[in-house]
Amino acid sequence: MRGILRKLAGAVLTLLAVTLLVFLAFRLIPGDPVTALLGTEITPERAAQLRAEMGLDDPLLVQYGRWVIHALGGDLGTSYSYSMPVSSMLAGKLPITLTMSLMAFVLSIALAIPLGILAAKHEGRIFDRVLLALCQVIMAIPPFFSGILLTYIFGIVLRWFTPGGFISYERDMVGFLRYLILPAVAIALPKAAMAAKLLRDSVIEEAGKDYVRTAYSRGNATMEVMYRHVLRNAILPVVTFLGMALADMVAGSIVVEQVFGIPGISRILLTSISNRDYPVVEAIILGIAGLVVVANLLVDLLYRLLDPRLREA
Amino acid sequence: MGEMRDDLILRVEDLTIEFHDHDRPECVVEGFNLELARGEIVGIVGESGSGKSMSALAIAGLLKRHAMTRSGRILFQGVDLLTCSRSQLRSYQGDEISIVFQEPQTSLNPVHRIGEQVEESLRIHHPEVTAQERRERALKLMEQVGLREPERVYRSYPHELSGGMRQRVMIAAAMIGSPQILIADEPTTALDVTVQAQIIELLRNINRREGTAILFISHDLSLVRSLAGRVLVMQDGHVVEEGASEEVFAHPRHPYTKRLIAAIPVVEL
Amino acid sequence: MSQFLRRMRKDPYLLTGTILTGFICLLVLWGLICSPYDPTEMDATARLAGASSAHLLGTDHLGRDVLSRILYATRVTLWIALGTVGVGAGCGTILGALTGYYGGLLDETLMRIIDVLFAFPSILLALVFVSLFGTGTSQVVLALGIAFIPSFARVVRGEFLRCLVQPYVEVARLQGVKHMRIIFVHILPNILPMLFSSILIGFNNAVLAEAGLSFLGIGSQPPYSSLGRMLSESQAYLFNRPGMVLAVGFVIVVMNLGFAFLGEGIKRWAK
Repeated sequence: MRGILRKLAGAVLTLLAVTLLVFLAFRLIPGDPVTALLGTEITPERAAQLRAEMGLDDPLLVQYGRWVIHALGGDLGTSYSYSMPVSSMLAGKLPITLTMSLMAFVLSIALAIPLGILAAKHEGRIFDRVLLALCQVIMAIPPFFSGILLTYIFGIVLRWFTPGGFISYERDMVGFLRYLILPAVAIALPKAAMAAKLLRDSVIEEAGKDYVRTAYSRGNATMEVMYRHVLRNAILPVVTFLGMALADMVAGSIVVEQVFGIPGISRILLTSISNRDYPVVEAIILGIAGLVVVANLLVDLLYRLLDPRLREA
Repeated sequence: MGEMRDDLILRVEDLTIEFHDHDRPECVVEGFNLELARGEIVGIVGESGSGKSMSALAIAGLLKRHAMTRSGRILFQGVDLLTCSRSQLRSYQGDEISIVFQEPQTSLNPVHRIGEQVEESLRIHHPEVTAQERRERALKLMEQVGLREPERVYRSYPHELSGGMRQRVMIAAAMIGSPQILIADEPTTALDVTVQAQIIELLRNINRREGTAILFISHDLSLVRSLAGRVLVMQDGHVVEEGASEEVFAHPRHPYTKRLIAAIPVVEL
Repeated sequence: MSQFLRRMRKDPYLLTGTILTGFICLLVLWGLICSPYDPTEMDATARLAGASSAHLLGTDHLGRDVLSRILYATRVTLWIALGTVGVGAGCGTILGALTGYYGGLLDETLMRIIDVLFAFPSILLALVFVSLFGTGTSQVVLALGIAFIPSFARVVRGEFLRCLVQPYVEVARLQGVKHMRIIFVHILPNILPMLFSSILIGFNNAVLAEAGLSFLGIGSQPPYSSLGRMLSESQAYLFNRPGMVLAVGFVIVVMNLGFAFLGEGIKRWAK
């Protein structure tokens, strides 16, 4: 229990550290949002007035503190370019990106675990070799390229969907999810391939250990040995990998959204970066950093649940 | 197959094991014969690589079926364990024939509770026994093998126990089905000397109380002598000498046995 | 060299890796020595033309020869990846070596930060840095390079911790050898195989990350396009000219596969 509390405190600290770094970085670079905001109508007086209104004259740490306190209250600031609250800008987009990433995450687990076990069972035989080779190739295909390939095959050749089309989740939930399947596949494929390979290697390694022989000596059938004994030990490295992959998949979805023309946070992030719209970029970074930290925490908890040796640590 | 004597429970005839995972087939056991009577303790002595552990694993049905060929017969209750079906073999494993291994630290599954592992054979072979009853039997057995505070140990994980305790757990787990044969493959090698003596004493008690036949495998001739009535000496896959252990110890015939005896430290146990 | 050839015969990974990487090298050489056209030369009469004897892979929407552009873009991608790994591996090795060797509070703090950055998707880190430095090829190299420091620092630090307890290091310490000499002469050569293999993996990740950034329009700027940029440009013509996308994607995949197999082969060889 104390270990968990320590982890929790560490997670909050790292979250603060990351956001502070990003916050400072954006304010130390040349380029002034006020200049961008006023454009050609800029006069020194108006610029100074606006700067004071936006609190840009205060010391950086004060600005950061203000931002953290506001963020905790759910107020992520106001977009410089669109003069609207960041939270309402992201509110409609975030569910799309998150749904897609989550679908990809579930998909990669659903693919990796059975395939990894199957390959390990057929170690060295044709199925295992083909699957390993396939995994290697899939890992080399970047998600945006597999996205393009999927668009071509299913959108242009088979005409199963309209490339670039999209259905809002408010209008039709099923249609919305259907449009997210292919992007999710594109994001999931390389991660699933990596996880399957990892699980295969891990299962093979565990299967050679002494406790497996003990399990057989007690009359367990092969299936029971695999599912009751080997898998629970072999899954540990895969849990770590998938925990890290979750954040990667969210980041990957930013690129893949562009391929499929899905209106998630990708477009907003890209335009905000080029417009130096700090509040928006900071909010998105905060969100993903939060996700990374939460994912790490979950992996940690899951690890403790799966491996009793770590519980008192 | 009905040629077995009444009190014989295990008979190994001309067992030969060959490995094929290298370029040339390699014979690790050749022409191995063994008879084990009800309630008897037989020792197998030899250095590492002599084939003693291979023979034990073969009897326990734990040799992987690929990458090696086996010939001969291992008769248990009139059934040849080498050629019978997997499911028939499984029905004996852990219930009629149990095995305790050399490394108690790695032979227990690190992520399962001790209680679960002690009960496992019972759960597999006797699904009619209720969980409550299983637990009671496990606790009783754990007490009998000398585990203090069995309730606490029952809930523990392997990494929380000492080497000696783990080996006691392994023995309790092997005994839960009241097997006919207990194979002990170097059960004390990884333990320190005082614990070693306790484990030997425990095996002797089990043999007396339950009448379980024990196949005791060790590289240590003096240990085998203190426990087993009969001994087989193995070298390079062959049984080079066999007989009552006192007899073999007092009048070794084979030069290898003589060397083994000469190598025993002078301090007697 | 003959050792390498003998090893190649035994290990299919090394063999495939070498062949695929060799193919990429050939593309680079082809582009350097006898590129069919200037990659920026526009032919207004032949826009989006199909494959012909004049243009083996056809032309793009501005009438530029696709093959020549691919040959050029391969070079751009490789240069960016090389620069990225140079920055990342260089800084990462120094950081990992110093923190691993000296330990202490500095190590503790730095590793905390590096662990977080490591868990952070590198393409996102690169996005943040690009928005700080601005777009452009050298900015992208710097941004990606910084984003790659954590992974190298972690590997090197881990290897250093492993080597520190080895007898040869302890003996050197007892003999009073200078710290810097122990770090660079005694330990570093021992971790080179491991480092080399991570460099190849890093190279791959760099290619992927750069392609991702360029695909988003943030990486290399036209007309000096990298493969990722070409891919995003040609996606618009997926319907009429799918061959263009496929050719560009094919080169990216072959490049990745080649480095991955080469890395795996070398890792196995080192063992």
